[in-house]
Parts: sequence; C-alpha cells; structure tokens
Amino acid sequence: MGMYLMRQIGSRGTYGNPILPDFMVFLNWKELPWYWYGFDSFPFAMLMVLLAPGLLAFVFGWFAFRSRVTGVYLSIITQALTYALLLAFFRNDMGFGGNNGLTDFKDILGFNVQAQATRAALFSMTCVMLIAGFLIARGIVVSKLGKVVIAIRDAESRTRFLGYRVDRFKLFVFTVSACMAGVAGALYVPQVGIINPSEFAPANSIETVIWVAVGGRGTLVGAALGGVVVNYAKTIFTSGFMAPYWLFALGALFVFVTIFMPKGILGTAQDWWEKRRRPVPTTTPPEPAPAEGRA
Amino acid sequence: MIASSPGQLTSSLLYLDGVSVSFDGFKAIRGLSLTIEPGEMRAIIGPNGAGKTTMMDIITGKTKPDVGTVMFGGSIDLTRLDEAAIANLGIGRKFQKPTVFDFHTIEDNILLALKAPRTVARTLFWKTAAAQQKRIDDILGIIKLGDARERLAGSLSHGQKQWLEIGMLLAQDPKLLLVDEPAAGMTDGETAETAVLLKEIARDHSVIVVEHDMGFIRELGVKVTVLHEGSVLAEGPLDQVSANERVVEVYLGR
Ligand SMILES: Nc1ncnc2c1ncn2[C@@H]1O[C@H](COP(=O)(O)OP(=O)(O)OP(=O)(O)O)[C@@H](O)[C@H]1O
Ligand SMILES: [Mg+2]
Repeated sequence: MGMYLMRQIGSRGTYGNPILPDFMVFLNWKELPWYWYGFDSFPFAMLMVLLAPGLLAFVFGWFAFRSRVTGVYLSIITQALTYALLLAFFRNDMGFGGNNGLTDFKDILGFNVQAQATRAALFSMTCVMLIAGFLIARGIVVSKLGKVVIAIRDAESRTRFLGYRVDRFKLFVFTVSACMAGVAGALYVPQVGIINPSEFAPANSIETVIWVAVGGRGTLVGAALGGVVVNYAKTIFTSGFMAPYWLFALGALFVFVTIFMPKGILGTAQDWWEKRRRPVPTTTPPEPAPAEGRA
Repeated sequence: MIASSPGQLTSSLLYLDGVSVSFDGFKAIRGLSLTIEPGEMRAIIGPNGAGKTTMMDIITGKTKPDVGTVMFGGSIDLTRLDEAAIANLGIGRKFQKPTVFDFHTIEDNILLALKAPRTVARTLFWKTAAAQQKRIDDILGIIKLGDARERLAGSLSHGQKQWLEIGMLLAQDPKLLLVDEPAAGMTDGETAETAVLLKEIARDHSVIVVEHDMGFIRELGVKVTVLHEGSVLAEGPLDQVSANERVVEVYLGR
C-alpha cells in the first residue's frame, strides 16, 4: 500500500521527479527498481497486498511445518525472520526508504489522504474488512477443517495417525492469516500516514499476543475486542503525561490479565453472566459421570 | 525364531522380516519377524519393555526401523511412508495411553475419524451426508456413548475413552487395526465387553491386539505371539505358548 501511495505522489515530491520517489532521487538512483513496477496501479497494489504476505507465509510455512518445527521454536524462527526483514529494510539499498520508510503520502485513488471524508471512508473500510475477516475466520472455525485444526492443537500426532496431513492444515491457516495481516497493513498505512521498518520489531508481535490475551483466548470476538481495548488504552496513555510509562502499563496489563482473568475480558464476562443466570451455587459444572461399575 | 518364507509375503496383509531398531544404542527391536494374514486377529503378549508398542510405532510410521522389511498388502513398503500416508492406506491405531481429542465432543471425535477425504479443501467445505451421520450414530451406539454425544471427550472416564478410541478406529474403517492395551484400567465387566466388541470387529477386519490381561487374551481365543527383548519368543495357540518353558520363565511365571 505504501508503495502505491508513494507512486501516487508523482511529481509533487520535493524533487519533482514524476517516477522516482524522493528517497530514490536523494540516493541518486536513475531508474525505478523492478519490484516497484506496477505499484502505480491500485488493483495491482491490492493484489500484492494479499499475494506478497501470502506467498512469503506459504514458502516459509512450507519449510517450517514440513520439518515439524512447533511451539516455541516456531515462534522463535518467525521472530527471527521478521527481525532479519527489519535489518534488511533498514538498509537504503533495499529500496524502501531505509529507516525513514515511506511517508508524505498525498492521494489514494485520487482523494487526498488527509481529507476528513477520505479518512472517514478509510475508517469505514476498516470496519468492513474487520467484519469480512471475522466472517472468513468464523467460516473456517466452524467447518470440519476448523475441527481438524483444534485436533492438531490438542493432539498433533493423533491427528496424523488419523490420516490428516498436519503440515498442510497448518500451512493453510498460516497463509490465510498472513493475507489478513496484509489487508490490515494496507488499511493501516494510509490512515497513519507513514510506514517504516520499525514496524517489523518483535514488540509488535508481542503486542498482538497481548490483544488476544486481554480480549479472550480461543475466541474470535475476543481477539477483536482485545485489539480495540488495548489500542484505545494506548491512545489515551501515549497522548498524556503518562506517555513514557505506556510500555510499563502494557506489561502490567498483560500480567494482570494472565493472573486474574486467564480467559480474558470475554471469558470472564461469560463466566460472570453464567453465575448471574444461575445464582444457586449448587449447580457446579457437570461432573464427568464415572463409568458404570468402576472401582 | 520363526522363519518366514518368501511365499508368505504376497499372500499376507502385514509382513515384517528381520526388523531391528535401536534408541541410543539400546536395541528395542531385534530381528523381529511377524506375518498377519488378511482377516486374521492376533494377540501379542510379552513383558514390559518387550517392544510391543515400538512394533506398532514401526508399522504406523512413527519410528523408522534401522534394518528390515515392513510390507503391507504384499507390495507396499511401509518404511518409506509417513504416518498420514500409512493411515490412509487403511492402518488404524489405538494408543496404549488413550488419546482422544479432549476439547471436541464425542460426536466430533468420531466425525474426525470417519473415513472421508482428508485434504484441506475437502474438509473446509465438508457437509456430513445422511449416510455418514447414520454411520456416526451407529458407532456411538456400538460404543455405548450415544447419550453422551454432546459431551466433551475430556470429561470421559478412562474406560470410556478407551471405547471412544475404539469407536474412532471403527469410523476409520481400516483394513488393519492395531490395538494397544484396550482393557487397561477397565473393570472385569468392561474388559469382557471389550473382548466381545473386538471379536465383533475382527469378523470383517484384521486386528493386532496387545494386552497383558491373560483372561482377556483367553477370551479372544486367537493365535498368540510372545515378544521378548524385541523378538518373537513363541507363537501359537494360547495353551501351547503358556506351556512353553521360556515363556513361563520370562513372562507368565512372575
Ligand atoms: N522413542 C524411544 N526412545 C528411547 N527408548 C524407547 C523409545 N521407545 C521405546 N523405547 C524403549 O524401547 C523398549 C520397548 O518399549 P515398548 O514401549 O515398545 O515396550 P512395550 O512392550 O510396549 O512395554 P509395555 O508393556 O510396558 O507397554 C523400552 O525399553 C523403551 O524404554
Ligand atoms: Mg507398550
């Protein structure tokens, strides 16, 4: 998305070059690198929004899941990959603006990115995409494939002995989530107005985990809820005198939620609701009935 | 040692010959040879650590043998395939420690095991047909969990989990079932019912059962193979092997 927006600046940049973005002119580049071709077209850029992360996840996941990398090791190598990308994109030679990143955007589809109406449209689009993402995820979760994925989570090797190719199922959900992240990024860039390699930092992945923990693990609504709640808190915190303490507050929030609300906001609210509906304390959750005649 | 002639290879459903595997220098299986005929039910007994579970690991692709032949249906080399491919050939397995999907309902456990295409696309767009639903209901009836279908499998007792896992095997409808200690942790009553169920299953499937419970083995009334230190010590009807001096010494006599 950033690349599309850069190309839309055209000759209005500081250096007035109709083709090359400012940072390239600054680096004395004469030609547009091949991977920037096509990004002046919106449909092409949108295709890439899905394709680039999807393909990267597919190739990476293909190797990782086939070699049965799981759990902590998988987290570590995905983090290592993003860290490698961070370092690579910081280099000016990479052709993505180095540590300044891409910014000073002007238009999107001919509309001024900073105009109120454009911003409202982008925000509405974000809501639409959130709902679309939710529906897609929901469709996956309730399908038999979703059941297979839960089975893999709980007893991976058992699933394999039933004849499911565990690596393919992991690859599918990994790639779908990468495409969703691509859409999220494409909506983020024009609304924030800048994108630079620091977004690759591991802290972002950790923050996402915190959203899910706060909202409620194991649910789709919880993940979205946590994203909204944590980011709302972030907005309040980072704009006041408490700004320097935001990271501490975030850490404290994570610790608090893990200890006192292990099911997150959603899970805790559900439990509370259940209790209210059945105030008589005699109804403990249904105890597993013992097998008949067991000693 | 039981000699297996090459002629047995083509007629047999499962053919193991000269199989050895070692873990960090410890030989868990040494020169194991075993043949299972189509439709046969075989009981495997032997002391703890004899290699019974490891043998199942080898057949199902979890462990690769260091040397030896493992052939299925006369021509398929199982040592070259992975777990999923072997499962799809029609080899199902019940684990020694019952493993079901605790966070799925009992019905979903059966659904996941049900014989059906296992690809990503086919499971994503899966619709359970009426005939398949009927099969699931039948199996739930056989394993006596029909009334509990909506309950999470994790809430079942040990014995019920064993039955659920046998139900999952039935749903897979494999050609060969490997059943590791199905009666462990069951009462005498449950054990007897399990023997009846397995005999029922054996009418149209080949089955290998590992058990320590001699009463159960006697109930099955099939050919018995005694494993000891990773190879076959004796083979034959239960009365014959239980009269074998070596078998009494290493296993039964204790
Ligand atoms: N993955 C492994 N790594 C190392 N050693 C193993 C492994 N699997 C099995 N063994 C060893 O191989 C031997 C045979 O084990 P196996 O589980 O096959 O015995 P078993 O006949 O099933 O015994 P039991 O009756 O107790 O179930 C044991 O000594 C065990 O410790
Ligand atoms: Mg065992």
